[in-house]
Amino acid sequence: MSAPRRAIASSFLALSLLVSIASRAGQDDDAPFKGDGKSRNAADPIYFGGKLADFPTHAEAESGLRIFPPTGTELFAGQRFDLRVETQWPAQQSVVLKQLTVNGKDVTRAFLDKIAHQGTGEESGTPASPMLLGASARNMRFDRPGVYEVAAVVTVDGVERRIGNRYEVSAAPDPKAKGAARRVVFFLADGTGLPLRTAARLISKGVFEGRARDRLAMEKMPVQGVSMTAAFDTVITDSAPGMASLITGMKQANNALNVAPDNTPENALDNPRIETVFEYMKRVHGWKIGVVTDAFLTDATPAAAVAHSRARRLYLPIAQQMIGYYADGTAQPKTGYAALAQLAQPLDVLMGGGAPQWMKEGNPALKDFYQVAKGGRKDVDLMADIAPARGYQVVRNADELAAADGKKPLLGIFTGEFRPASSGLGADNLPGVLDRLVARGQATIRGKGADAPELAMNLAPPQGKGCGVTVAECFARVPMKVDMTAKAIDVLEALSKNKHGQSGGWMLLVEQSQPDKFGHILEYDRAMYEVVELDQTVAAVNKRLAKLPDSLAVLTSDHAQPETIGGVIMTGALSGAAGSCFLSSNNAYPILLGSASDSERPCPLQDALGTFNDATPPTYADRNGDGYPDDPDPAIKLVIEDGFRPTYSTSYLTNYLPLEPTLTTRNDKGAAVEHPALPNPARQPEGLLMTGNVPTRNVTGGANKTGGPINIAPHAGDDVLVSAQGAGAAYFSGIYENTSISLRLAQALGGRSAAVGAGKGQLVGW
Amino acid sequence: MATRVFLAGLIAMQGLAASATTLTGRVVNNQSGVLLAGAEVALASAEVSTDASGFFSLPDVAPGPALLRVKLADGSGFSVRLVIPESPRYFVELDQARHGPPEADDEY
Repeated sequence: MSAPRRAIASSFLALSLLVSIASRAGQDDDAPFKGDGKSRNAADPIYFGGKLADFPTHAEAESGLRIFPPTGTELFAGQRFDLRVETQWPAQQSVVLKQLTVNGKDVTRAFLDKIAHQGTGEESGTPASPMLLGASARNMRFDRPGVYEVAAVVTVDGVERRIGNRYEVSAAPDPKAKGAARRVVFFLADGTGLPLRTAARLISKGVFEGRARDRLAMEKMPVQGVSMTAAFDTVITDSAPGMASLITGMKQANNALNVAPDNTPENALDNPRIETVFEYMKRVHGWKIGVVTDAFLTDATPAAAVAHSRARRLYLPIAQQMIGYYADGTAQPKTGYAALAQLAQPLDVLMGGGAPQWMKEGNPALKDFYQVAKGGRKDVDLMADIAPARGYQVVRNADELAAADGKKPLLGIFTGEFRPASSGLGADNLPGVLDRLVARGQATIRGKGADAPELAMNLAPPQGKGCGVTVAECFARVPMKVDMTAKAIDVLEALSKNKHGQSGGWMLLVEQSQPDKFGHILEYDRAMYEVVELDQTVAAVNKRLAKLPDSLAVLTSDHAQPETIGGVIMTGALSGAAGSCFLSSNNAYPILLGSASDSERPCPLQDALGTFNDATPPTYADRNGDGYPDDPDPAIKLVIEDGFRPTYSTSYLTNYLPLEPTLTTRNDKGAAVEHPALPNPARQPEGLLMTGNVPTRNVTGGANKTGGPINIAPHAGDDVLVSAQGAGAAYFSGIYENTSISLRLAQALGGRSAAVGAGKGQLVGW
Repeated sequence: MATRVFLAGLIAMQGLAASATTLTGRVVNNQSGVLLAGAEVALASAEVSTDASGFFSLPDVAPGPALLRVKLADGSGFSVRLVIPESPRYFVELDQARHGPPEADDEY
């Protein structure tokens, strides 16, 4: 370094020191915590000159010119996608598409003709400003396998801007090929990382002298792979791209369902779309398709099978897409969405929760049966009118499900976790399996059954007695996943039968959503039970599929949760250990470490954890032989804890009903105010205070970039397992991007050749 | 503290050596479909407002890592991490929906 430059550098260093000290004034790790729900109790945890990292995207720098699908999208031949060319920054005078090529062949005229034929507006995703280029040629496809390079030249204010994308296109599914799968069950264990699978084995199968007494059914599937779960725009995916990416081959952004981003953020339904494997098999091969979930039906994972929206939150149009109902004057208009209606395939079987997205406001069953006091659609009643008119039989509980015609399309919507005293699960989601087992008399929580007042199941349902006289009755009538799945297979098998009595093919998505939903609220015991319910379903399905030729079962997760197994706890010792763990100075937070008797022993509960040599095998029992532990709190129970979490308190015992981990209060207008830095005082206040380590508030300054508090555990960026059994299962071994699962499915479905060499085929669909 | 000062110095030096970028972008909410007009976008001491379609432009920005702060017309705000490349212009979409937790229990 030359002398003058060294001088400049050192003066900058000195200046930086001054700036750094100045900007740090008042931000001291020892600053007192005000406990007012507004102030943080420390300086920002990371400080790097106010600067951090980001990720780049594939766009031309000056104009933001880009092509969708994103480069590298893993397509198979015949799979539909919208080819979009757009700029992101408005031109000053003009922006014109000058040339579009596919493997060097000019397709500009065909592209422009197609856009003209589609019309502007939603149909082509036209931006409001003429100074932005944006056009989606809908429902295009590469007709043969190979490598394709798509390049665009756009003239912006007289200057040419260029961008190119590359796609490897694999062979199309060919279910008539020898050995191809003709029946597929795709299990999606939401938020289920390896630790939760291990925990489910430990509590349901047991361990003796270090050996598992038995394996989970998902562990007995012969092929295991690993899926990498990062989303298009974040390494921590949410459940929308978590599912959508792996059944389309296209990496998607958080909140997106089977679409790429675009430059018309004002319309979430006009984004460039991509076809899912489910849609493809129905559209091209006439397969029957279905979805079974314990979440509300329009939740991200079940919706991902066939819905297309940049906003996963658009539940009302998504519900319409799921049964193929497009009508002007409704949430999902017909005008502007002709291409969508040709792409999205209606599901033949749908089961889950979420009545308000399917029923019209004022439908008496919404209140009396589903316990929904306020809500419902304002446009149409899909459940009462539209679905039956389109041939669906509609069922609301386990009895109706059992009695349902196994040969007709089926829409089943069941009651949610509606107990007013419960919080955090979301009332549109089905009650968790532990709570359903208690309602059925098959389990207890800390020795208490459905008649115990602590569980709030012995009460009348809050809005009406349509679902039962007591909450327990309503919950007991919510079908178990294994029964929902069995009926779904009955229906799909029957609907797909050809004139020779053979199945023409079907594909079913079975989601277990609540390992994730309970993981978020740190209800670990309930999360473990959820994996056991999924595993029982896997066991039943694999047994049935073994008798059906050419069938395939695949199980994976969209992402993990930051859970890990820490050891065990002796539940009987906890009552003595709980309480006086931390001394509160003013009957509120903050707390002081230490206790009156021992200043170096802040909490006896901390010493109750058995880890290392002390982690003796837990003592879960299944005396009734239903495959589930009879009680989540046996003498010695497994302890899970999160690596990332909001502040909460725990005595390690199972909550009598699901409770959110942090404090929520109401403001004078009745709106909820979250306090993620403070534990929920209704939830084991005598317990160990687990200090949170996720953002608590929108802090300006330092490195914190969160736009709001996080009062739940986040998802984790860990890789997840893939398990497979049956026809084509071998394609699922290895470590791969989640998008590769789409291609592996295509291979298992008979698409035998991988993408090699330049594509000899063409882009078609003009 | 010593490390922090050293790193801060390094970044200042990088900023000195590289040519300036025009940071352009758009403030939107991809979930609600709202184009966030009148939002204040700030990088260090420079601050601009978004136009009716949510667009903004910040000239003479030093390449490198940066934290962009967005203050919305309703007083709420969020911030975004960026690595600004050595390029005459760089476009970013600042999506309010990405910068926070799910709003409802249902949206995980």
